[in-house]
Amino acid sequence: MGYTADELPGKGIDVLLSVASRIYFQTHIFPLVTLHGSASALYATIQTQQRQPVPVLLNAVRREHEGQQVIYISFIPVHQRRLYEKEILDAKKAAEDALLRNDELLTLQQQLEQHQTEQDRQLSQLQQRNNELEQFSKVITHDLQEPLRKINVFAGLLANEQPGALTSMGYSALAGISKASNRLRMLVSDLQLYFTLTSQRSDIESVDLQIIMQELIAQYTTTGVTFNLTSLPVVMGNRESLTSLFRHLLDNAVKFRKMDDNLTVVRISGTVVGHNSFRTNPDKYRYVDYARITISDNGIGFDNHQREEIFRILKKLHPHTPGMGLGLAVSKKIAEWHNGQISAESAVGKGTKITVLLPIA
Amino acid sequence: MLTTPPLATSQTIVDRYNVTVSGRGTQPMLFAHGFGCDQSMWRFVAPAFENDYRVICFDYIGHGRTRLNAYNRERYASLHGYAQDVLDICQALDLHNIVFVGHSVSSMIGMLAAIKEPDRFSNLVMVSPSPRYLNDDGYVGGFEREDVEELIETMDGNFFGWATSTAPAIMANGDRPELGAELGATFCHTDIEVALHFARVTFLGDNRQDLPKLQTPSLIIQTREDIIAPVAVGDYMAKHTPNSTLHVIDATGHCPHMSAPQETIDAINQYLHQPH
Repeated sequence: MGYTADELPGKGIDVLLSVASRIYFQTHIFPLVTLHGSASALYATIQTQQRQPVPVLLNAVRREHEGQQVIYISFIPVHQRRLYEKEILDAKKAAEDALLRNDELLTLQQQLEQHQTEQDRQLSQLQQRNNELEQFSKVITHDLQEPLRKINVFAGLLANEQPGALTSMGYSALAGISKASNRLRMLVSDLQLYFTLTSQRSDIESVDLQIIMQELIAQYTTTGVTFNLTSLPVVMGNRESLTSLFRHLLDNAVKFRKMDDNLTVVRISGTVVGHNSFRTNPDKYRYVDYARITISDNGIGFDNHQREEIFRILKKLHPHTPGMGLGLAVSKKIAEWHNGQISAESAVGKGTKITVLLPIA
Repeated sequence: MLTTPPLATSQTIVDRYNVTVSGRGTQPMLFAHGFGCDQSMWRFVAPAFENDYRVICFDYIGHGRTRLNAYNRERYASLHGYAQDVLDICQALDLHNIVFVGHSVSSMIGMLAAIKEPDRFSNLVMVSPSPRYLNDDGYVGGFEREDVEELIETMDGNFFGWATSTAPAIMANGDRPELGAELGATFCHTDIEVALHFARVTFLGDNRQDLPKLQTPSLIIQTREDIIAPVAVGDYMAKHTPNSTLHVIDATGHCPHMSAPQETIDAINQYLHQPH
């Protein structure tokens, strides 16, 4: 090995090993010998004092010596044998690779065919659904609005009658008709908004969430409410709809605050996490960077069991608050349209945390 | 209709990752093994926490007694796939307020998991961590790309060796109870293809940009001499990880939880008992 007798005592085993064999020793041989007591016929590469590599076969055994655990290792140089085995291994590897590639190709081909059939089916279904939605939208915009408009006109005519033309019961019924038809008109227009939200072609650009959030905070800052914003990332998306997404979230945080003397604090923070971009295919993985934005408040909160249903359309947990129960449904729709996700966690009396995941690119 | 991935039941996850639970405490302490071995590497350290914690150990797919059919090359082409394993286990066992203890590359895996779901974790204990093993433009990780290629060659060359020294004796042995002892004596079993892929993902990866994102308080356990994660790397970790505590313990090598278990246990206890 080229060492003199007094050069090695006191040194660690690493000094004798090649760099790669040091890693191998620390990650494989040492744990194995410690747990199993011995290891046999393992390859490694040692190096001479002049840093010449020597392929060796090693046996190792752990023994107790004067109260200490000692590992004894014996090396046998195997220059020729290593070369032959390497040839065998290379040949084996080449054969395996070819086989694996062949197998992989066959599997991929099968998967592709399956996906094509599935995709075609999904596409037809989506087209059908799209047609239905278009019909629905027409029904809403025209067929439903028209009778509503007429109800309003007739209610207006009645209201303009000579004073005393109706009984007091008649006037209060008239006011009721007017209020109900206004509510219905708002509902119809919100529903239309929800269903047409993402069917228009939208422009994708790089959107700085920090700027969007600063603008929204300026709009929502009011007495008793503080916003605490730490830096948010830039994502690729549709500026208008992302603004709408976060507007709904801030709106909720302010709307569902505690109406007591305590200051309402809304914390908004963002970080970048690795997340699988495949959403529906269970065996596909591609980890890409996502912005994770959390908006947490100390508001009235809700029962955490309802954390999923709050995103359903027209779902209102608090019947007497303003709004139609569309805000979170719209937010979810926008997040998913961006290939993102939204989730909520809450505790009654403590507050709510909304987490939004949006792909960075 | 789009298909949604089937929800894995808690038992599926327990079987998939060979999850073992012990201990009399309530707060979970989750141990994750490093590259090259399996959960048996925690056997000198984990029992010390059974009085005060719910101790949970597991094997990554392709390690220990896990079944290979759950292996997915795409999922494990990134440490994020391994971090998802940790999060899947946390979800299946409904774990919260977790003390996560990871060795070597599992420190990075735990870190990615804690960045993704910070609310689940109370503390991270990183044993011999490194965010980057390769030297890179002024950063000293300790290794060159050629070293990693040679490591992979060494591992590949030892495939025959492994087959004789560490393959688990899986056989029906109801009539030969002495074989049960043999079964219990197999350690660090690793599937070669999984190990080679894991080696590349581990040693060619770079998690330096993730360190500042970690908000969970962490302990970095560093030994005096570790050729895989040298003291300078421990210093780098501590400098770039917020809320981290560096503890250089009186031990050498990359596996202090095996070579100096008491020092490792003391370091973890000291850290967990100090006020944060």
